[in-house]
Amino acid sequence: MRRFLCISLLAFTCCASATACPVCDSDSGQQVRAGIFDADFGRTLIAIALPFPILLGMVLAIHFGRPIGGRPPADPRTGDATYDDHDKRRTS
Amino acid sequence: MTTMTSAVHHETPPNRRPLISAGAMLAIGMGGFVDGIVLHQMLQVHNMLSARRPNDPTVSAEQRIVNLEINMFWDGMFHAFTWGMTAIGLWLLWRAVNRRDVPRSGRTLLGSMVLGWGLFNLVEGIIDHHVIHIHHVVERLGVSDYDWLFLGVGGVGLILLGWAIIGSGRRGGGPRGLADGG
Repeated sequence: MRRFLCISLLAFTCCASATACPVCDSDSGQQVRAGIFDADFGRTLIAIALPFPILLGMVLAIHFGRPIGGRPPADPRTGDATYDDHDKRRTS
Repeated sequence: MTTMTSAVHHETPPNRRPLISAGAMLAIGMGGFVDGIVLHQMLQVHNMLSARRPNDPTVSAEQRIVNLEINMFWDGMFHAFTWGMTAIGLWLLWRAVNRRDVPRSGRTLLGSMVLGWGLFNLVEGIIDHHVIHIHHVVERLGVSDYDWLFLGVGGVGLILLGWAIIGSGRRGGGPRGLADGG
């Protein structure tokens, strides 16, 4: 078991994929960093973020639009109400 | 107490918009997570920049590892944005349920979440898959039927379904007066 753990640890720390992260100090790691923080970094970031402000705008439009009603308030005396009663109250 | 409750009922007509916007925002974030978790990580049919940084046999094994790591970074950035949208959705939901004029309708919330998921798929699909082409649903095929299916079923289909569920939730819930404890 101990031998297996040692071999596994060695394999995980020595293989190329384990040292190819953006903060890894290796040739692959440097390539990853260079690939991420290249001249197109800003453009890529904007491209990836682009759908979100548009979606945010859509949600804001829903949020601040004309109220969409639901079940009308219950009459505190009778405990029930209809849409007709509700509409009459709003127009009067 | 009756007078105060009556005043609330008469002065604030019910408004489902805050609940709809909260549910939609929550589902925009969660829809992003579904995309990222299922398509990017579990099925691995594409990554965020897989059209520009391919992970296929056309590049060397070492370059594939580098491209995968670069894609992993941008997948993480995408997840950070979806996390932000989910957090805003939770905040909106918290505000909505604390408003007396907002009916607590489960059907409206469900419908708005289906709507939000559809909005995410439609906007993300149009921009990323068809306009700027940073990735496609199945990357090895490029723009394919899967991209149109994503827009049609995952986008327009879910929006229409969500809208229908919201419409059917019109009589669900009810505004809460002071008697409900707010």
